[in-house]
Amino acid sequence: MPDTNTNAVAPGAVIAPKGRWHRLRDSDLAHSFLSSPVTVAAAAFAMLMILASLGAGLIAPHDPYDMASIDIFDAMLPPAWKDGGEAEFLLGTDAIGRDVLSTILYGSRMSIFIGVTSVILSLAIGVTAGLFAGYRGGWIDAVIMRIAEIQLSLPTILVALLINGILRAIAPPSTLDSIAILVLILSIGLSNWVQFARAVRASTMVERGQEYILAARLIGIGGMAIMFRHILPNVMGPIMVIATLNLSGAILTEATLSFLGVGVPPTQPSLGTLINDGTDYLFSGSWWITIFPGAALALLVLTVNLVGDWLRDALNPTLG
Amino acid sequence: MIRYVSGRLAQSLLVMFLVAAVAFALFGFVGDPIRQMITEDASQSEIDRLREMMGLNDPVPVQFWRYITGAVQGDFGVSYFHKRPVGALIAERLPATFELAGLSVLLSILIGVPLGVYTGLHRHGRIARGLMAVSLVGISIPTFLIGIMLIYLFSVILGWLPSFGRGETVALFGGAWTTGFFTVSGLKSLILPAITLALFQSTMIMRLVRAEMLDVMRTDYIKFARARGLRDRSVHFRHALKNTLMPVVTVIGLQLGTVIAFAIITESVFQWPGMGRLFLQAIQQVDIPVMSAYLIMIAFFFVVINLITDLAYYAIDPRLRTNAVKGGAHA
Repeated sequence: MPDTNTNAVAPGAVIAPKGRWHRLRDSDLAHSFLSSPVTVAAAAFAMLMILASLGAGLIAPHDPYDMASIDIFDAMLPPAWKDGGEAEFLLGTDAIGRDVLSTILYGSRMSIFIGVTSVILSLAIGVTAGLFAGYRGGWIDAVIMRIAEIQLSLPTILVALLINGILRAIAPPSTLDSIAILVLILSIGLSNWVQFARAVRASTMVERGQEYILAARLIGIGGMAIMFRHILPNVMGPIMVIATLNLSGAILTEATLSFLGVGVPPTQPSLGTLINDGTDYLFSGSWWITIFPGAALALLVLTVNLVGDWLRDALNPTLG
Repeated sequence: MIRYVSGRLAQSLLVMFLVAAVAFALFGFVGDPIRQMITEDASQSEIDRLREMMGLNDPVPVQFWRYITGAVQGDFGVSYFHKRPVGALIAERLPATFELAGLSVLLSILIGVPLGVYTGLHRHGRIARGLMAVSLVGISIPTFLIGIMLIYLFSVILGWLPSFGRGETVALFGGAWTTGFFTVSGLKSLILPAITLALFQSTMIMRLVRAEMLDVMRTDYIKFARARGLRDRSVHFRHALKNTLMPVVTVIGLQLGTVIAFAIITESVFQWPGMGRLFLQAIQQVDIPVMSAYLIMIAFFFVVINLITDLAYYAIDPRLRTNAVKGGAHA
């Protein structure tokens, strides 16, 4: 992926056959990245959060899902620097004595996992729809774009809630908890494909008229192969930008759905669930149970947004 | 003009038809309308009789027609969970949502447009850049978190404002509408939810107005207006702002719908007794008649807003009037 990006920015800028790392370092993209301290900081922070949550099992001070290690007498402890806080629980504990820092790490892992998988789903749906709409044209194009238009006029969160509700209505009630994550990924993924489809459709319509496509058709390559093997690699640039920008949105939508109680099951909380759990204790003054997961969520979304914004400006100034 | 409007109308009707079909499919096939009406030990013949009586054995188009005609008259069936007609449930909660959403949209325009003009004109100023940074942070903080933080600050710590409910309401029009605008507790209850809901919208409007202002200020006619020696105020507001209105009106129109959707979240945070909370409970309880009804209501709302937005275009942009035949408004 790195070298396709650099090529997209500066075609033929570096011709000398250097190593990948050198080419990356000398590219415009890397230069633009390094000359924006905010982006570097945001990217570093986002990476840090992603790595920390991936390694939650290794670095979290406690295992919040190991019932044996939880002591109810540790419940509602404030953060370590406040009166009554304990050094063992840096960010305090929640109502049943779980370490807030550990629940945040595990919770971010769930949030990031659902965010990433649903973006991949949106990408797969959107790219396929966009390729078909752009390459085939005609009624396929009309139908896909009409659906896209209607969906685009509705807010994502509403579409996600509706799909969520419909899936819950169709699924047998007994299985609801076990498929909750799948339902969540489907509802977020299905509510976000339109942007991908529109971008891919637009670039596909340009590529369709190019000579290499005509050549491919002349030698008898089938439509599917042309779409996915010939056109797709050439329209991937903007897709990566949209994917990054969508990731923060997907994480937000997940948190919102979980906050509203139609997201992940309580046994596998995400950041949204943690925030929701914490609100019950806000009135007794235990703000840390809510505010810390909330801050983690906001920082995660903000940093991913910043990286996405930068990527958009760096790769294609006209895209925004 | 007539062709433009009728084209838009036809499109709206098509959307409504499709949504109604989805809602009906949910209502009639996913949910089982008689499930709630029978006891556990009802015999098969009783069930069959009931199905026949309710017309569930009629051809699908006949049932669909019956559903649509019912919906038009406000009859959406009976809620599984509340055991009451869905139409009545919605009518009860509609005023709460509309007052909240209306106030929020008003707030977000009053905040967003002036700030957008200011940041657009003083692009490099310190205040403008500060505002932009704040707005990026504002976009990244989810609505529900803003609500929670406001509750913590103003209800828990300061104790100034209530954190849930509508407060005291007054019934108007013989009980058809309830309003919180005429009581102190009603007004106080409105403040936090309205700000929560308006914050995200105002940042969106501000960023949009700013971007549009930046674009417009670069154009030749602004340069000419300046060259003619017009005052700044006149250039900024009569020439520049006026021409940014097109996209702004569209976005504000679309925002209205977004506000209704985000009201689901705000209503949940503040336990606001509106439509959004009804819908959310319906999803949690798999209460299909309510879901179907909400779907139709919200689609209707969106279609009406889109239609009005398109017509507002027509009023604002004289170019549309000259070649209206093309139905020129972009989507």
